[in-house]
Amino acid sequence: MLVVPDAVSAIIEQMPAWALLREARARAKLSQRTLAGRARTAQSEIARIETARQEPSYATLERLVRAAGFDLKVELVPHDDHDEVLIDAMLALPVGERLDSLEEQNEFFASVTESGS
Amino acid sequence: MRFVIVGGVAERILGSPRVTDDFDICPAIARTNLERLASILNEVDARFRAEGLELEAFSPPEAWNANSFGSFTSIALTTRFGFFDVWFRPDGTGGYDDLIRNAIDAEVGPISVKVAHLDDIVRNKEAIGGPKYLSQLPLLRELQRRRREQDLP
Repeated sequence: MLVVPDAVSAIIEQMPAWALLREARARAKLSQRTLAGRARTAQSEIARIETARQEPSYATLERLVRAAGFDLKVELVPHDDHDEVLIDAMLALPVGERLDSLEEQNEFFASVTESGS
Repeated sequence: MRFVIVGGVAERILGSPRVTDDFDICPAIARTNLERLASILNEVDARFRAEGLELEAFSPPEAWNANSFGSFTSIALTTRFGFFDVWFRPDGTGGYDDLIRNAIDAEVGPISVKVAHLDDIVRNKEAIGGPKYLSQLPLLRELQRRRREQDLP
């Protein structure tokens, strides 16, 4: 049963619990009070979670997200180190060169866009 | 002019590989500083840019001056040098006085600039929320980890 906590921490890391709940509630166009009513909890609990003053358990988060009309989907995927490789390459450059490469990328995108229009 | 670089260019300076096409700053809101900002905006022919209408620009009703900024929390602009966004109070932060406390000094060629700390950039994105900004958080958190590993501020 160790798999579930790892998967949960992975998704929480990508989008913190408070952000997930806030996003779910915003998409459902629900007030904190309405969501609390649907989930049979106190509005103050929703407020605490959404302001990161309370870290909900997975079960609690799942219940609140469900009350907003969504399922919380958790899955294991192979680790993708693409970002890490790009970050390491960027950190190896002096600051000025990081911006130079940004400028080059933007020029490239502009030329591609212009050639396609 | 006193300002802190925020947004995508700040992330790039700090080591993010994400590409951005606009330059975001958070200026000090002292009147003399706003006068300098206004002067620069006039020099670069800054005009309002509306979301979804990036190819059009709307001139300000009069030349930029310290009063132009009123109660704006941010202004999206188009200039001779590209998109330029001015954030007087980036979401989740207290503005310049807040950001300058943890700002990082960076040398860009011969110029020394102040760049918002990555923790503050993350705080800003979290506060803005929404899929666009929240989807950028995993990359920024990875960058935070990498910078910590390398003892970078």
